[in-house]
Amino acid sequence: MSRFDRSLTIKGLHLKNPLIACSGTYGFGDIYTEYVPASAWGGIAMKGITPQPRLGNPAPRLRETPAGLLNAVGLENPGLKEFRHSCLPGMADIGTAVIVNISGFSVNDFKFMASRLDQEPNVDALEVNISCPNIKHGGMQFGSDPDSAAEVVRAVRENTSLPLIVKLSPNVTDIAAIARAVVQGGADAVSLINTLLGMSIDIETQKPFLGNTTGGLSGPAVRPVAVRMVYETYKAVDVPIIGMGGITCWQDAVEFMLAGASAVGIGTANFTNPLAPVEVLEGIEAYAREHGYGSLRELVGRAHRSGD
Amino acid sequence: MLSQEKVVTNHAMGPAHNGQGLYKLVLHGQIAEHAYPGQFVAIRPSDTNDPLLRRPLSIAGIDKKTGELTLCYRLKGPGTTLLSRIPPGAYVDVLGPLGQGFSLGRQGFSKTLPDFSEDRPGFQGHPLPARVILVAGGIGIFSLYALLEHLLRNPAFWKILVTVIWGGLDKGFLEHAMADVLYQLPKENLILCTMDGSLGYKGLVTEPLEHLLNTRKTAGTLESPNRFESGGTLVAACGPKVMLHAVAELCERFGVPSEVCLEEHMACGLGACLGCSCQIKDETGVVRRGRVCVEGPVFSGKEVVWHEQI
Repeated sequence: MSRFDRSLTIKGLHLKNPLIACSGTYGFGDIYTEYVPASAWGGIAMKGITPQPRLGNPAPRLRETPAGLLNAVGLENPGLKEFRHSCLPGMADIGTAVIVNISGFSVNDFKFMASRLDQEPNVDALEVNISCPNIKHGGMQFGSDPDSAAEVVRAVRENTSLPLIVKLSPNVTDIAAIARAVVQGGADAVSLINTLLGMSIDIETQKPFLGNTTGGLSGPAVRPVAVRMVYETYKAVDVPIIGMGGITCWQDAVEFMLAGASAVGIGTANFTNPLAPVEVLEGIEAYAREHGYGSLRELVGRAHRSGD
Repeated sequence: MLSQEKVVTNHAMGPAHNGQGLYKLVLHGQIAEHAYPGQFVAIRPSDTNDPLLRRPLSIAGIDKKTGELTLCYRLKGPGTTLLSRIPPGAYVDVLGPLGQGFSLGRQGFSKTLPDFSEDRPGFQGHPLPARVILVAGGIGIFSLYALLEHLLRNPAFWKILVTVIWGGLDKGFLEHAMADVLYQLPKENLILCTMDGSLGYKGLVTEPLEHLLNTRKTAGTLESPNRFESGGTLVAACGPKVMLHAVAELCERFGVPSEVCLEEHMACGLGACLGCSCQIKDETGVVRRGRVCVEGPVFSGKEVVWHEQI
């Protein structure tokens, strides 16, 4: 077989393949190792970390919807200190890029975490989460306005030299405007989409189903929205895009890459099919080879070309 | 493990035309060999994306000799409806066995099962109790079927006095959810309760439980009834959360250890999604998160925070 290149580089972050495990669906990379080695992934985005530990939202936190999943976990996490002491040291030989997802309630929170993680040897990149729909303050609020989004990213940029990925919210009118703002603020890449704000009501109790009232929708149900947003963002910015939102199979991943994603995230699909990353990677490579490409990079953005 | 298990049987429980929507599914494959009572599996009802998630089903029977795993479930929505249509001979995609089951479930096998519970107070290999009371509400009986069968089958447990207290809505429900293993108990050791009094005791399971906990000597095959102190009793319960709460409180009042099998919405069954996270307290009262799918579904009644503080 001829040489085939699956790799890509995002401003100093080398990924051996374009598959990223989405934050919040893969723990700290230690959960699925019985089924898929962590090293199968190009990178793993760790469960979101906040400066202080959080117990998260009350139950119920999940509601299955048609081809989708509403969740309102609320950033349950052990906090930055515990993460650095208990989780990070074990990631030295994990065999994949360690992407630490950070969330905060103020610009200072983001500054603090960026500066603390900057010198950590096992961190390969930061994913700045300005799009969590399930916390009351901060989170999505930062990601809904270009100015505040840029302010957060600038604050992180000034405190770390790590590659910066900014995770964007789909709950905005113009995602291209937010993407441009975060790139101006210093983002090296953008990942999208986070979950779509949604809600479900229990018709027996006549009350909101989720403990948090609203939740974030993920899964195949959101995929067309995500593909459209990746397509729009590709036109607006020159940095690599990590496309995600309802990818369950290689055909879905190819669609995102054609729309403009250099890398693709698999999230909710891990819950149903732990083998999804292996199947997707084999499938996109076979597709690219069949089309005569020598690398996966050649797929990126092809849906944008004019003519023929 | 991720296993393609072959469907042996999959049919409605109890007499035909029952309207209760209760099903029994028997699978043949690798999972039975590794499973013990109180654990569960996550089964994929369809290979399309709708319904999207696996269904967590409690293990109702384990036969390590034949490699058969029995799962009981209630028709609840599109997922379980699809599941109920899978014919014998077909293969289903099953993840499991998952979680930590009952402490007695882990004992008595020739092969030593892994013990994940070293840091869990109340679970550290207590000596065999003189008496075990299994308390079930509704379809909570399903996971206790596996434990009961385990206790009755294994000579190591034959000196234990086993009593089952099981409550349901009415006679129709109990008759349809009934399994043969209950008939292996001496009649006086099976206490049935219904809300409407149509079968057995009228009322909640906690009333006969309290009565039993008050009784130091009870009918049965106990070898030396004099050993029968309240500390020698273990209660294992599965059912609605309000019932489990009441059972755990009652046991604490009598100084009897309890193990409760919790249920929560979950997506992955492996501890990744944090959907089933509940609050757990240690002996000093410090509250932390525990995942029903990994640290549970069986917890010590003492460690569960029944009214979560957010």
